[in-house]
Amino acid sequence: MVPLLKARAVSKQFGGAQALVGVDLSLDRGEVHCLVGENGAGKSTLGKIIAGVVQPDGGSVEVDGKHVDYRAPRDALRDGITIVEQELSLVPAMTVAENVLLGIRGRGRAGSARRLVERLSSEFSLDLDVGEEVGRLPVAEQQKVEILRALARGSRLVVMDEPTARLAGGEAANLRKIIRRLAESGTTVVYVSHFLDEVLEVGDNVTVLRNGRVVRSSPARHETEESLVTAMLGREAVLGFPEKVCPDPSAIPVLEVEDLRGRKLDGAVGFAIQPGQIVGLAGLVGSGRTEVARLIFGADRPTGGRVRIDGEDIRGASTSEVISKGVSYLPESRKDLGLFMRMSSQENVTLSALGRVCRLGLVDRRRERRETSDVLERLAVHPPHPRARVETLSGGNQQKVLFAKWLWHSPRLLIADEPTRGVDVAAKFGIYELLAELAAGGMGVLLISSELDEIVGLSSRVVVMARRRQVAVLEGDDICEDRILRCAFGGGVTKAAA
Amino acid sequence: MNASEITSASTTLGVGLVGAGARRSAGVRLQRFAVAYGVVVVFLALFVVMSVASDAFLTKTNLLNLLEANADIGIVACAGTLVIVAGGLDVSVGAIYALAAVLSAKLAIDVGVVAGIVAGIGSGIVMGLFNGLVVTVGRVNSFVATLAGGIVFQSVAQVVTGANLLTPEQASFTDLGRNSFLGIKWVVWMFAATIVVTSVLLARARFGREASVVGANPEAARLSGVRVARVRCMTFVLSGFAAGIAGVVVTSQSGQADANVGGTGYVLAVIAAIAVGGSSLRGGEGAIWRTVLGVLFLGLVTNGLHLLDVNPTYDQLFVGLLILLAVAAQVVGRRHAGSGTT
Amino acid sequence: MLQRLRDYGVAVALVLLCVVFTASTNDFLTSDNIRNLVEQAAEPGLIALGMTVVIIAGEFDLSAGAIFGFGGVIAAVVNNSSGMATAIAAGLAIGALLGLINGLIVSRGGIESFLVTLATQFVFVGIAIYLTAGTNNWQIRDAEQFGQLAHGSIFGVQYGAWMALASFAVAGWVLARTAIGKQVFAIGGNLTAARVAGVRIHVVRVGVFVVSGLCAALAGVLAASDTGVAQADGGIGMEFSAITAVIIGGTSIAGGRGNVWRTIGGVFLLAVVANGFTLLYIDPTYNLLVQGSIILAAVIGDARVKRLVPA
Repeated sequence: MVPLLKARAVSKQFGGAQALVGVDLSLDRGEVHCLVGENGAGKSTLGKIIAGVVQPDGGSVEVDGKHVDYRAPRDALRDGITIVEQELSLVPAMTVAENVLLGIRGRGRAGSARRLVERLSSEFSLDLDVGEEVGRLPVAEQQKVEILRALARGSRLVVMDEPTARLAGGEAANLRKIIRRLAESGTTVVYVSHFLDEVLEVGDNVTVLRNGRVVRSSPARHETEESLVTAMLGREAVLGFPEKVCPDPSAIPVLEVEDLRGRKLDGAVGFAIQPGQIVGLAGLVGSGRTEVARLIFGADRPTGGRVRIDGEDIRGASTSEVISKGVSYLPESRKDLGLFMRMSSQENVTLSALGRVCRLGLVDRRRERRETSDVLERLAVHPPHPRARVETLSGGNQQKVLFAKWLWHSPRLLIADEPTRGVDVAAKFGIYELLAELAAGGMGVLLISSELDEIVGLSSRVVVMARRRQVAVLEGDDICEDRILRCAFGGGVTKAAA
Repeated sequence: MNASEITSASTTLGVGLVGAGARRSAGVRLQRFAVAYGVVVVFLALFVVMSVASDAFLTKTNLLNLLEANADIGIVACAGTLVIVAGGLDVSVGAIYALAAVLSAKLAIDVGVVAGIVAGIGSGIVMGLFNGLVVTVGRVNSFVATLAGGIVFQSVAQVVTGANLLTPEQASFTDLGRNSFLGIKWVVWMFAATIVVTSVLLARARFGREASVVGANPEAARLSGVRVARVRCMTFVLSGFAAGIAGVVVTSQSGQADANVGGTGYVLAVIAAIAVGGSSLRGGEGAIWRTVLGVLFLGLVTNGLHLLDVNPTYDQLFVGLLILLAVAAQVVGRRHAGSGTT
Repeated sequence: MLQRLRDYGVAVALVLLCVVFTASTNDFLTSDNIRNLVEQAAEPGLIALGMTVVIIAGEFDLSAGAIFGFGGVIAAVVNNSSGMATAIAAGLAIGALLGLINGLIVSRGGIESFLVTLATQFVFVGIAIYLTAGTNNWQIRDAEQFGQLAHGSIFGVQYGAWMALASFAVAGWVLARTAIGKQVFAIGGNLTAARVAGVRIHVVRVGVFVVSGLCAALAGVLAASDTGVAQADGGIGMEFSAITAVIIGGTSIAGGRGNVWRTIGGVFLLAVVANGFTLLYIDPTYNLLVQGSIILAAVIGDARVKRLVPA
């Protein structure tokens, strides 16, 4: 039988870099095909080429045995190919039904169209309220709207780019069920993901990419996480958590949060972090973790309670004041909120504490270079020349610059919000090593993560949030995925805050 | 660090060194150069053409006149560049200019020369602060805020003058605009001073760097500890200050003021200068020298048009066309020389 | 609560103003005055209508006033040689053409609309002045006959007002009930979403500028018909009033939401203010000041509402 889609020798270049080289891919109807690889390996690009978002420079793509040349997503749509990207493409002010039907013409009167959407929603167990405004829905529901849109168009192939990146455990499992239902009904799914366990669970076949080339394509049942990682990296890698350090309970806490309240929180939050301790902040998406971080960091104004750094009260301070007290915040959305692409690495690093390299309001460039060279060396950032713009660095180097930025003024507390999101398996463990190293040096770390194994593997104390309130503080042996999950879903006892 | 340490450190933290943007081809670099310095080339070309085409052009008198005529726009445009780099837009400069002019004239007549000058410049600062507060505290989009503010300021100017022409006669007032130092009018010296001050601010001062990041990504700037509201507000204050100075100086030069000066034509000229110079109107990057080139370029063009006996009524038509051409060229240039992402 | 303010604030303000003016002078609530008010609101109303569509699509059209003048000039020039019907058609055609130019530069050129239309404003006015041989005035021959367009009436209300009403109704229906109307909201609300959904972004975007050009030109033709003279720069400043009307009506300046009926509220609010000023013999200079203050208050309010209402 003719495969639904066949890509031959596809290549793509961005600027001067080769994103894809000589890639072959074959997709059958009703197949769930997963694409894995390190950051920059090209899996996202391949997915976008399939869906017509990006045009290949070389090679060919055939759909149903016929050569196709997609110049815009619209062309691919006509052949029944859609993409659900990481950045959701929905119009917040319009309802679910309106978003689903956007751009689909000839659907007759509004009533029948709406009913069609409702029917599809229940048929695939998506359970959406089609009259609700999309902007009011949580991320997981919004993603379902995108899937519904793909269905409403009678899509034969849906590309999903990192769909579970922002979903919590239960929701991710639900999504996998939906994907299996799609496959059973004959829809092909291309699933691009970092989460190897998911890939193995939901995929029929897996293609591993490395440096823009296909390493191999094989059935998922023939692979394991280790075999995939080895293929991704080209060598063996060790995947284990570093040793946990026991903090000194008698020392003054680096961070003490007492009865903290905010506009976006439903209750009070209270916990402490000792020097050298990694404390995990766990909970489902939307449970209020980032809100807590922002309150501590001064990005949002608290409405009550106390925040103490090394014993000093900083509640109500602005971000620049909080930074000067030794707090760093690595935000969730790194690309959007972390680096300034058109500035050099040095300039990015010093931004959080410009006062240190300024005299009489003017920036002392020599001093800036001196102060930043240490931390950049330590993290092995090697730009082509010192003043090169960060946008010319590789993804990995950019990430290092970001870490350098938050570490150069030797903070006392590092708030890391989803530090390994979008990071491939090998690099993840590198980050764990780094965090452990920093903690060993006396820094306190507040680790916010949706990945339970990270939380369990790194933290010596876990604060669990559910529905915008703190529901538990777990220590020692209580820290396990099971317990955390139960608390995150609303159960659990609130232990006395340290 | 030796090679193996580098490799292991980089793999520890990051990914392989493959990725977007590592190498740039020569063609791309040439395009980038063209985008970045195209305005210089075009300016020099025009300068040469005009020198050749007209004998009257390359004389000291004519060149000084050119500087004089464009100095006030230049002052406002330099400050305006700071606003744009910080991601804002001030379309009220024409109105601030008008009200400052009118107030300085009125107080010069009614109270005294010093009062007039203080009132003019002071009102510019106050209006700038007003704009700044509406944008930061009121959280209004700067285009809309200064649009509304501009309407208010211009109408106040109308009210103050009662639709009359004000003519301050005092010599000490008009001296400012009409006198020279070392053969060059004061207003040109003020332009030069403005260039120096704003250049230092933008390129070397902490304020300038913070303004650039605020324009590039305000939320990221805030999370990096930059006091975003303060920086943005300050840019509007500086813009108002500059427009106030321009209003006073020009009134002093011409000896008269009425509420119809300034207006959208003025705003157009200022924005045109900044755009033609090559600074990005979206913010995040820009340079004062570019704006200066833009001002002079526009001055050259209007100068040239007049030498060609084109009716000055059509000046703005050409300025409008120039804006479109300049911005289109920038956009096209960026698109071709830009980098993609994986 | 603030959301309600945005929804009904303009209506409440309008009613309040009418009450105040009725109390202050006998001349306000007369059928003559009301009729006059409505008729005077036709031209700014049309421009505001076009502006509403453009703003919902997430853009600005600062050249509306220039197109207004241009439309009038073309109609006047053509009328003198070819008669009224052709003149009106020509005026509308030029409005669509200028709008098309705006739209193409914005969409294909990828340049911010406020910048483009700021520039085209001056380019169009300049060309219009050139067409009137620099005199900026064009007398219309047979002004009487051409004036019928403006001066004819149904049920005692001039054609202009009816045309404006019809335009509002058509535009309102298209925006609310047709697929292409939804697409206008989409490109204003989330451009990426629209693109991925397969909306023909360029077509829709250029389309809204053509609509704005048509509306402005129609208003210009009406004005020329009314006064018997066409002025190339007669419309300068009207775009600001139009934007004011749209904003105080409650349509969001950010795009993606709103409707044309809100704009009618805004237009009438401004018209009543101006009318009241005239009746109360307040210096018209203050009119602009009041307008500016109203728009300032409205945009601050709009920004506050946006902060409190998610999505």
